[in-house]
Amino acid sequence: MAIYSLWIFDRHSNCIYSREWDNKSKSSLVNVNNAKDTAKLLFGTIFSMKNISQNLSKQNKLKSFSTLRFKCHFKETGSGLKFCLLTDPELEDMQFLLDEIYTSCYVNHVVKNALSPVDFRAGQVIGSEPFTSDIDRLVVTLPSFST
Amino acid sequence: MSKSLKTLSDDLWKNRVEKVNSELFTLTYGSLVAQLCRDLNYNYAEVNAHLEKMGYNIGLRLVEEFFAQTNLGRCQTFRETAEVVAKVGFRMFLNVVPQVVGVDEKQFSLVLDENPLAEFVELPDDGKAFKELWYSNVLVGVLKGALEMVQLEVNAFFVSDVLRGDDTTELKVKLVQVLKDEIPVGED
Amino acid sequence: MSSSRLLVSGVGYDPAVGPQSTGPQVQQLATSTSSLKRQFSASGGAHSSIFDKNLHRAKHDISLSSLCYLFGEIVSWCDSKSRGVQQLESRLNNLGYSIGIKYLELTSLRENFASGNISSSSKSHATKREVRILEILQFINSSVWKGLFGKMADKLEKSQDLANQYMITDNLPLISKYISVPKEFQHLNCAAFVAGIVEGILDSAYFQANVSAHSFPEPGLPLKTVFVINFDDKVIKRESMRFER
Repeated sequence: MAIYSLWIFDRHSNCIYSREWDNKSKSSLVNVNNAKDTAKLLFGTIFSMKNISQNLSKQNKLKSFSTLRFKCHFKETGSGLKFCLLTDPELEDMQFLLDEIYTSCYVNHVVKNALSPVDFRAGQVIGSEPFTSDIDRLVVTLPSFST
Repeated sequence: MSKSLKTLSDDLWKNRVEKVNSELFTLTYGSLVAQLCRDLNYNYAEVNAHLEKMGYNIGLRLVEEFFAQTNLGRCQTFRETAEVVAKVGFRMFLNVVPQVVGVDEKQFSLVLDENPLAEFVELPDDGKAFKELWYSNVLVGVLKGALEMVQLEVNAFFVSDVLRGDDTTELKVKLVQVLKDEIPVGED
Repeated sequence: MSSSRLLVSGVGYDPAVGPQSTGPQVQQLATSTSSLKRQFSASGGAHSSIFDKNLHRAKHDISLSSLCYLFGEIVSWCDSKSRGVQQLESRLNNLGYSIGIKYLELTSLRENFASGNISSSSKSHATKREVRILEILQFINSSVWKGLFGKMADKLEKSQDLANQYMITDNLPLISKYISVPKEFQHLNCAAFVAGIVEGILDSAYFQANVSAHSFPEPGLPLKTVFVINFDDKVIKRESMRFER
């Protein structure tokens, strides 16, 4: 399982979506850990990394960072939306996947869906099932998914 | 800079935007305004406010699609913002490119030569509409909502409208303040 | 606001006075009954009335997303003013209705123009007004759907059970493409709007009917929508009197 999880944070620093892929667990791991420490720590780390990158060099943008056990691929949109994909550290650049998730999943199922909010209050998450199934479809069909 | 924006928007329009005949759009908007006028008893100030609120909600969404399709980042100057809004934003969604006039770091104006919202529209002949109703006020809301998502708080309003008998349709946008990015609780 | 006021205020270009700015005089014009008079605007013809514009202009396209966002807001607004699905649907239906009545005129006119029936010389062989149920339905199926959505509707059927019922099917309604199925209501929101348009067209063509929209999702066609048209009894009666001997 080379791709571990996806986290989406909005411009108010709230975690509005999380999806974890775990071979062993049969239960659906969607929006389970949004309020937990993991999410907050992840956001904090990204926030600090962004600050450092900006301080070290203007016009800098964080793309990814890795540790021994995982690599975090990051995308921030002009509207303040932050996408984080946690994967195996050996995995190559996954920006294209994040772009695709933004363009085809988020825009189609959240933005264009009149019945889904775009400005999430604290605690609100993206509950749309088509959203999750589209993301799954994109991720699961990647060759790097099940190694 | 302008050239590349034009190429970008042309390319977007040709390849990445799903198109539909603008008539249904114009008719739908017209039906909406008419219904609002009836519902609000022809209190045009309220109709304007309502249209702006609806536009605001639309702007919050529209901006995401904008970023998804264009892959542009945030603009560095307000001047740049004006150019991008006119050349890429309006082109992408309304297939018109308004002229940008009176640009400085605090404001700009958009002059619309064509307004797809108001094709074949006449304001009602009740003496009030000409002075009080801004038919395309939804655009004001869209700009406010969209720019707020990139941390720019603006005041937008119509200065003139051909539907009212003016020579041009002009929308003015004034920068109120640049909003700070929100930081999580606990950080400095 | 009678026309006598116009005579008094001296509307029109007065060579003795010359061109004038758009001042209070034009406001008085605005309160008059006919807007055609605006053509004689004292400021020198800068404001051509909409009657001057050509109806048969080149097609102007717009992004589908814009329509979807606008429609989404309309649905939210109707929802906030309605209590329950029925009211929401009827509000959307009403909005569509006013579009329908205008659209019939517009499309008929354009059809005539396209087939060269309207010429500046002598008489115009205007396309006959549809008087048969099947004809008007086919007109809606093809011209109207094409004009509004860029494609023809997928099926036109007559009901087996009821003499006054017909069905138009659209496998992928344009507007509903992005609005996800809400769990609270049935997925009838957008379609009620289109049903209103159809009803408006039929009513103004003297085929009084009730049109409602129902979704019939199929594997592969999750958004398939059927518009059920129930004609008034007197329409059916008229049809049988005229055309069945």
